[in-house]
Amino acid sequence: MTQSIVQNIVVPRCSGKALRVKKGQILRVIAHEGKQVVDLTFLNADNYQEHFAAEHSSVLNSLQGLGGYYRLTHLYSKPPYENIMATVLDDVVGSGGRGGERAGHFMMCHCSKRLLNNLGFPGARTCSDNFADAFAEIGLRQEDTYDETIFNVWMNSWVGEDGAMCSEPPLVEEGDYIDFKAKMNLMAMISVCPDETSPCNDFKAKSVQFQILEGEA
Amino acid sequence: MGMKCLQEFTIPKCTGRAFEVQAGQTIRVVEAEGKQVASMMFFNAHNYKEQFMAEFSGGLNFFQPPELGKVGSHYRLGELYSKVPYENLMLTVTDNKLGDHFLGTHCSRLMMETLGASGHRSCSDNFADALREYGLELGDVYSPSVLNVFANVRIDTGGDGEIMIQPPRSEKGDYIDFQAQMDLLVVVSACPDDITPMNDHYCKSVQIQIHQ
Repeated sequence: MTQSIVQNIVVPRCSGKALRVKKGQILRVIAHEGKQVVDLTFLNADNYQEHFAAEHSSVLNSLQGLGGYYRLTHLYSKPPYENIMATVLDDVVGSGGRGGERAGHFMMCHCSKRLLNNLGFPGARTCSDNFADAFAEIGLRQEDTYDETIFNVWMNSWVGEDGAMCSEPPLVEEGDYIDFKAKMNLMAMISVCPDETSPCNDFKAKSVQFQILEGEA
Repeated sequence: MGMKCLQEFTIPKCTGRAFEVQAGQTIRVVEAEGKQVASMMFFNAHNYKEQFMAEFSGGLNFFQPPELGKVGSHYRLGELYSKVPYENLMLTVTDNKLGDHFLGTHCSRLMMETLGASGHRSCSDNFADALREYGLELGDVYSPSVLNVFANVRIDTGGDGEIMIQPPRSEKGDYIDFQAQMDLLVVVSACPDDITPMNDHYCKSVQIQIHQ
């Protein structure tokens, strides 16, 4: 059995997008321009109130020996649901293929108006704006659903010993990808992070390619 | 002018409780017995969709305008903010001698199952019980990530970023004060986890005082 590409799109730099992924399909996120972070969260496509809880998943994966705050194997929905929404199948950065002291993703919050204002960039575009656009695509408002802790794909950040928030440029290289297999019908909510003020995107916001795949590799 | 204690109550071990405070009032969370975590959620009393966002507050405390300097970090909060798109200051920490707390998820049904204790009571149960009194349920809470007061938890700085749970350092009588910057619904769970070192393997009560 072969794998076929059902959908293949490039999400432009600094923008958001909602993508439907059916149960059993694979969402492939491709760093086709290199070092760029993708802020990713998921909704149950049949019940938008059931959504991905990234930080909660970090603790569950940590207790299971399957990951932590810098890598996940199972993506769980928030309580009271706590279902596996997706599993990570192929993750060259997270599995150490690009080196680094840590797995290379970050299960935390996305950037916002107040954060960029604090950093001295009032009015700069943020992931909050991108998500607001993505939610509007499916007729939702940002305040109606979702956990602000999300899967920051390829965000090479960590929490320091003293609680400091630390960041280095992503480890990901051009053409690297990560695969998420949907365990239920999903709406993938995407922000191609617009930050150019920190090492998060290596100081230059880029576009990202997404594919939806069907069948076995 | 001194502070006047308006209300004082004990949250029995392994239970939750919701209560309202007005803008300007101070919530004091006291270790009634010591080494016990109080997990806390906060809602705008006039709009339950505006909810405290724990990790996000950690980031906002660490990244402050240079002229103001840092007010906190992931392990020591000075200011508590609501989630996007609101991003309002909900509370300020006014007394925090010990400093230990963890911005992270509360324990849940699946977590207990993962720990080999299927069916064990969790903070999810405590929160669900307490929220019911105000017509809310766990499904109405956007993020399970809360303020775990007195929790002595760290995230590994390397590898997969695993969680490391140690017994609290808090002793009987230790407290933390929060001043409300808006009218709030406060929900507290006296964490019922006796499986991990979170509460030093023994669940206890927590005391709450509201001061004016």
